[in-house]
Amino acid sequence: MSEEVNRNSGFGSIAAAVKKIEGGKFLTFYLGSEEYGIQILKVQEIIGIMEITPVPRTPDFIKGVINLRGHIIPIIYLRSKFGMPQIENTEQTCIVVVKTRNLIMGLIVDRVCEVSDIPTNDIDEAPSFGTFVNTEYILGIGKFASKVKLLLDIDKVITAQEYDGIAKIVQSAA
Amino acid sequence: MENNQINLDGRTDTAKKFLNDSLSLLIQADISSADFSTIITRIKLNIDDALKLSSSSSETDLLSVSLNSASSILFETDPEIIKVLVELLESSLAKAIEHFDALEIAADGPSQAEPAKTETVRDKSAEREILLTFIDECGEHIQAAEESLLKLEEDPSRLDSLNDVFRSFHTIKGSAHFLNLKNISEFAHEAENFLSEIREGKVKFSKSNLELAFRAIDELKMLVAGVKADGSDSKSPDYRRLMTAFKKGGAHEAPASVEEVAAVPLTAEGLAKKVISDLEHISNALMQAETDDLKTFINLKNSLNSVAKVCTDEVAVSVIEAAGFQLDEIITSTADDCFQIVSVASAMIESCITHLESRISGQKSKAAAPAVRTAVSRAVKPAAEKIEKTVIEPAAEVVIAESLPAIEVSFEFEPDSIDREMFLTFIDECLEHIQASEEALLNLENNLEDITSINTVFRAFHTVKGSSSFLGLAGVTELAHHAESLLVKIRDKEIPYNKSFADICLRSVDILKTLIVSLKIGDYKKPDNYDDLLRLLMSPELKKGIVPQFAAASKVKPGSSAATASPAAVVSLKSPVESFAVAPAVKITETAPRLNVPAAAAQVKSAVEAPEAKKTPVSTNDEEESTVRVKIARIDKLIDMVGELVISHSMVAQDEAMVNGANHILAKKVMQSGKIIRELQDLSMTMRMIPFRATFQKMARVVRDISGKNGKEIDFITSGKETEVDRNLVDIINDALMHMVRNSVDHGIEPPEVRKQAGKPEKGRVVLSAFHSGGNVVIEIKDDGKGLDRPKIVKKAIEKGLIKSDETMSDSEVFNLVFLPGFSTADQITDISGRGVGMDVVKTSIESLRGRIDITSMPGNGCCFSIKVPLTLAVTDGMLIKVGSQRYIIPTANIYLTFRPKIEDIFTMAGRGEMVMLHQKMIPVFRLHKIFNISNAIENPWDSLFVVIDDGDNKHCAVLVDELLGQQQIVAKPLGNALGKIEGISGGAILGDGKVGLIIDTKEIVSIARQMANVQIKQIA
Repeated sequence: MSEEVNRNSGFGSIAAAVKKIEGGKFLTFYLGSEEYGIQILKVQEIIGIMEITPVPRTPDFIKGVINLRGHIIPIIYLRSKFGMPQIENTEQTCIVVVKTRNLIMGLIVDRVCEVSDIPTNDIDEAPSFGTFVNTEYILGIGKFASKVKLLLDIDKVITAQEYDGIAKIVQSAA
Repeated sequence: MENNQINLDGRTDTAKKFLNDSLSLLIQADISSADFSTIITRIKLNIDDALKLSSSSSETDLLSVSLNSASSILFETDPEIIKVLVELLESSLAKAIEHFDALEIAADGPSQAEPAKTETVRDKSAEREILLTFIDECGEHIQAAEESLLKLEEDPSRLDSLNDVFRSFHTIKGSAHFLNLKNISEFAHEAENFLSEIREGKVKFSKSNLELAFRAIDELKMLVAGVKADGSDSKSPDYRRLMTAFKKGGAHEAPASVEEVAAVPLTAEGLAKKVISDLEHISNALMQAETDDLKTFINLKNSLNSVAKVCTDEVAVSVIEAAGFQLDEIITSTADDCFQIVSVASAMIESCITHLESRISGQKSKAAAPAVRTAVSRAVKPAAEKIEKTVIEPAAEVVIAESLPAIEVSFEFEPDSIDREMFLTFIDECLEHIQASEEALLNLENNLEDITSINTVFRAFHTVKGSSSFLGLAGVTELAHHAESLLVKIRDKEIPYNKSFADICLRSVDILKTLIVSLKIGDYKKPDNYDDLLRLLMSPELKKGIVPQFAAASKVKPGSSAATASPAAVVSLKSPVESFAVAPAVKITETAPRLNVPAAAAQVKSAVEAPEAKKTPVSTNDEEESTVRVKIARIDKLIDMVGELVISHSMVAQDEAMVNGANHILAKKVMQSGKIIRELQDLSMTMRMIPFRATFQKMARVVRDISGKNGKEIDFITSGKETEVDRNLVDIINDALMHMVRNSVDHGIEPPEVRKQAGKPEKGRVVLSAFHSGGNVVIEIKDDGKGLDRPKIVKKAIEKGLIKSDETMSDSEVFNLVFLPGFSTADQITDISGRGVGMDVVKTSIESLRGRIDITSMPGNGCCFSIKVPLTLAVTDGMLIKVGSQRYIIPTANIYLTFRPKIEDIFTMAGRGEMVMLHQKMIPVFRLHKIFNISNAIENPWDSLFVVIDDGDNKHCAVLVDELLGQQQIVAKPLGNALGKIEGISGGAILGDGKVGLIIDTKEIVSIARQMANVQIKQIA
């Protein structure tokens, strides 16, 4: 538990990469053919896709907001966030509701896969691809049963700060 | 308390059992087996049961997540996903169990006292809890005391108000003592003494004394605020001064106790006393003086010089002269840091007072003199950075330590040596006795002849004495014994009981309480005042019925905390108005009309009792019993939940099965439940409502203070005190009202001479009233002053370039200019108002409540500000509109009107800017679909609708929308932290169909639209 807290307190990606990434249980899901993982303790629930109210003047990857039992939570379209093409929703498309510190949000994923236990030794730090591919929100790469899982640092996927920056760009472009 | 704890334990245990069962079931369950779904159903039921037992929101959240996963499993067919969900359920169950475990550890402490660690954990939280309750209570008492004092000021004959104040102080004293907040309890004690002397007529009831009482309340507020902030009741610079002032109030004018003083005013002692009081006066003025006010400093310097001439004590003279030197520095403006010098100077004066006082009490303070000198020499150094009290205080301590012979009482105590249980019973018993005797003593104050009360006190001390000697608590025994022997004499009428004895008795009770409490918390030691009291009790004078002066010991209270009073505290002292921020505690009233009851009941009671002999004081305290203190967070949650209930009910009611009218019986049932839910909603709303009484009372205080400062006489009339409003609104309204009341008194009401010339009564009149109107609360502030000066406002506005001319402007448009930031017509800036910040803030804060503010003014006859705010922020009226495929909500309060334009009313300007003619005025048009980039909206204005809104500067503009879907009540919610602030959207609300509707911020969309237009123009250029 305490390690979790440590990581939650948000090291920069470099610091996180230098530090050995703690293993544990990860919920994995697919975006296209790539398999991603989120620490299970950050997952609140999985819900089916539902109608989303779009919010104007927000970047593409913000799909909008939904009503989750009386709370309004924002929904992020992970494909757009990672620069992947949009696709039609399928039967398997669902929303993974994640909760970190004070943020709660839903991530649209193509398909949830499993909960896998990845030991610390099987996690490598994310390789650098230069400036083309942003690896900032990749916590590390888990190797599991000859497959590779990209472990997401969910705190980094959307931070208020980053969002503010985007909002400003959108605003000045308008 | 104990019972609750056990209940909680039981609940937690059961809930945990349910969860553990579920978890083991889940682990054993096989997905492929046939009875898998039965197992899951059982788990679901278990979680449901646990959910019912949960008490906090975090538990509910955790459990509802588990519940959700369980139900998803039941509906899911894909085995892969089921597997994932099962794991999810497992982890959430584990989380919940962990949570309950943590709860148990926290709750375990009190039931078994052995494990040291858990005990401290609980102690801390319990202590904090008690402390918070104390702070709340103090806030209430202070408020009540203030109210009574104001009443008293109006009608000095109403001594029963004084009783109320007295009672408040007494309660605070008791609780503070219990919590070991020494400064507060001592302070309250002194204040209490002072008040009771007034009550008994020993001290004259005068304006200055009343002022002192008000300051005492302020000081108490600060102390309590300090406790709230950091848990300690550190003294402010005013603390000691007030304490001595209280003492003085008693010493100077109480004829019985200090006869010599009156008889021989010219002795050295009398002289010194005069010097002290002069010095105190100077030091008070010094603390209140503005640093840029040279005149005050010169005056102070002169008075210091004259004091120095009179004073005979050479040490004191040198200190006073040094202080004068400090002031010179300010006057000649050579000093950079006036504030620091002021504090040094005042510290010097303080030290001088201390020194003189110790002289008077007849103790030659040879040790003190050099200490004071060193203190002074250090203070004079320009680089002196610390307030010199730190050095001076210990000196005072030396005086006391030297002067008093020590009393040998053993304070050793080994709790292990006796039966723990017996020990605890003893403490409980003692506390009960103490409480009873305190009550009896207070009773005795009102009725000196009441022999039963004396007996009660006597019995209490006697019992304590017996049990404590059995337990080997010498300190307690000794005290109880001496107190008892005093009481015997009183009981047997050997000596007459009077106020001073009451004092001593109460003091004994207090110290006894300290002792017992310290025993309870395992920190048994001699309390500070113990020796003094014991000496007093044993003193031969007392036995003869003469009360010796007790002043020396308690007057010069060596406390290092005085020295730690930071400059910040000094600053906040200067603006006592700001220290009002004692948050009003919300009280849930079980019966709504109860709020009106106490006042009315008190009147009735006194009316009934008037013909009879006034024996018992009117007590309204008993009725307080019928309220329950509830955490605000809980009420907020309840209101939220009820809001959800209303929405989900309307979802049911609007369901197709209901709308098509096929099932009458069901429709009837749904209607019935709808009625209940609406009632529930109304009820839950009233829970958070509090009356304006406290606010109005604060305003009365503001008026009183400012009018006193300005030399204006003002009748402050309030009406509608009992009007209720959501407590979330009260704080904001408070601030706004404060500004406006200040304005009325400072600017509105003219000085008496001017009023006389204008043929008005010299006494100004400010009326503050509140009432309900529609779904709103209206608050009006009316004064009969000079009113707003239209030409002056116009002149200023033109000077500032805000307007070009006022020809086309209506009165209300001109008056609204005063709300612009930085606008002020005041020729000179006073410390109260005139900087032009106030009204701007007022308007913004009222608008943030979705309210509005209007001004009407009659030149020469005063003006009236009227604030209109919704009853509550929890539910607002919104207009649901449609643009393209999207729905939005515009708060109804922001909509001026809606209309469908004629084709010939639409104009464009330079081919771009659109305008529409409305009531012969051209107003700009903004298209919502363009602002929000929505496709497939209706493009032709004559096919759609215009919603006319305020653009934030009191100008209208029209927003194009497709159609109106209707008005409805909404519960505004934030969109979540992850999104941050979105321009043009103020939040979201759950609509009747369960989907989210976004609430439009009208001001912001106007500014977005203007920005977009600017960009467009630039692009074209």
